Amino acid sequence: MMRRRFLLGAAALVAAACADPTLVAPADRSYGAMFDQLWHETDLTYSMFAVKHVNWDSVGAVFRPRAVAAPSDFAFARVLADMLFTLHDRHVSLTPGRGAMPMAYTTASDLQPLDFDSTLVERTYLTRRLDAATMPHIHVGWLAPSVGYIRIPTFVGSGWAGEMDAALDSLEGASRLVLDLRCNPGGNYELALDVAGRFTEQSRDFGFVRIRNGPKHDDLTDPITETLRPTGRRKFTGTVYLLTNRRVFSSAENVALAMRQLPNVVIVGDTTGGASGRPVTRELANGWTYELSTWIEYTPDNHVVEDAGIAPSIVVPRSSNATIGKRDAVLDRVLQLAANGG
Amino acid sequence: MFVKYAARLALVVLAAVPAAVLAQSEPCARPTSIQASLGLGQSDRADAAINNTQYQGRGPQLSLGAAANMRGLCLEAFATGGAHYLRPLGGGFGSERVLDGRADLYLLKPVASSADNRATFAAGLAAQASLAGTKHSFANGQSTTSRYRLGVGSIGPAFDASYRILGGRVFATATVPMVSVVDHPYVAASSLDPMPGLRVATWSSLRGGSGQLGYERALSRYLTGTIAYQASGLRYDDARPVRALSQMLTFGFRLTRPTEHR
Repeated sequence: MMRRRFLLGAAALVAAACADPTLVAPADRSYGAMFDQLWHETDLTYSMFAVKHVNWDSVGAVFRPRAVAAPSDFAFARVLADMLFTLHDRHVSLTPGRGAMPMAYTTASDLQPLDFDSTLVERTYLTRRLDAATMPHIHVGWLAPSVGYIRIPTFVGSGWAGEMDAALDSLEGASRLVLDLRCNPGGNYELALDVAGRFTEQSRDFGFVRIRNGPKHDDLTDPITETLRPTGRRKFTGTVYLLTNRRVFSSAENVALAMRQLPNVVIVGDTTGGASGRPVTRELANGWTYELSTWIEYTPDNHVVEDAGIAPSIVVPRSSNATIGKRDAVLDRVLQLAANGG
Repeated sequence: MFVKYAARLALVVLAAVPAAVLAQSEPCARPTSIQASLGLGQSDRADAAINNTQYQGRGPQLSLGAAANMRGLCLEAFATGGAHYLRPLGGGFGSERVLDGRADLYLLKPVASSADNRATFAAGLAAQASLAGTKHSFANGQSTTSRYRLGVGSIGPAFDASYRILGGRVFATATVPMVSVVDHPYVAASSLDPMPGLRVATWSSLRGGSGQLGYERALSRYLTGTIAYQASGLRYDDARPVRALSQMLTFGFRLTRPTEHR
């Protein structure tokens, strides 16, 4: 009798263990519920309401009726994206389904012709292009006998900062180096600083961030210092001309902000784009994902990087580079500086 | 504040055990021993810092333990850890990889036993620490991932009971956290903010409990076989609430020190 009770008890326990417990109710996928989810999560997560001067309650009141009345998923996605775009933040986007293109905020400047032509640089300025097979993420060559050139088109991915060591090896003998970040949209923050660490032999603080850490819009961490640390086996401590333009964003701007603190670095070109929010991805109940900025980044002298960007030390405005296809005004200016020992 | 509260709770619980009862109880349910178990764990989690969907997965679970009798007190320690691949329930999206570990320390005082020592009961204090790291993969076709963590340290009353049956012993332990410290980053973990942001949580914001029910039987003079079902639940109410339930079924062995074998 006792044995039977014991075995029955054990069987009941195993059955209970195999059941699926319900911890939260299944999500509501109506347009109204998903709109509320997006609005509420943005309210809880987004870091720059004060920087952007946006009244999120008003935005929600305006867009909710449109979302609920959307006649299709496409129209609904358009309403959600339009609401997010009121934040005027390039790190805020909506991806309406697997494989769909992200719907991201753009400005009128995005429609202007590019002021940078990488093929022009390689065709006209580089006297020798170095091995691309061993450095697939960066473009390396010589501009002049003692002036090396490295272009980094993006900081997407991870683990390839070591290519910088190979690049600097191949530019052995260069006394000056051009690091071209023009049109670099950013990517991996840690990777970008890993690359920048090749240009310093000592750690330097270059800014600070405050991360959203609570439900109120001004719930932000105390300032967290950003530090550029020496990295890699190979360093370059000669003069570096760091080239930027209005289409340098995010992690690439972090590189500009960090390298601006180095005494051997001169930033040449135009102000960077001013997108600095460090996005995190969130999910809606129907699987669509969206990204929101979660921090505010500041320069060492307490200026917000968002929207303002990083200004160059030597300005070569966009209009100077109007003769695309013939000359690159920024590179011409750098070669002039190098020739004059600047 | 946390340490002071814990010390006060320990004194209250241990002092509450009447000395007259102790006189007729046997020392501890488990003799001085070490234990290793392997089994299968099931993890159910819904963390609003990630999203509001429940994720569930199963995976191997390793558990190590030790017990010691010291001056009439029973000291028991367990450490368990495992890796789980979690999928969403209820038509959610994405997937998660969770690595979790937990350490429990029980300080128990025998309270009562039957005349023939067939049944024993002990009460005391438990300190627990758990850490779960979650890598969430989003279903957006861009292979986006984010990392989250949840660390909880808690202290609360603990109970242990055992009953001899079928040539072995059925045992049950349970503990409830009364006061806890929680590290639950508000947004995805960042390399710039790696340090825990600890918050104190009391019963009003963190409710839970853990326990195990098992059976053990001597296989030889020094070796005991064990089978145990363990469960722990957590309900943390914050701006980013968490619901978690871990269950595991383990099989293992306990090696008893020769001088203490009973």
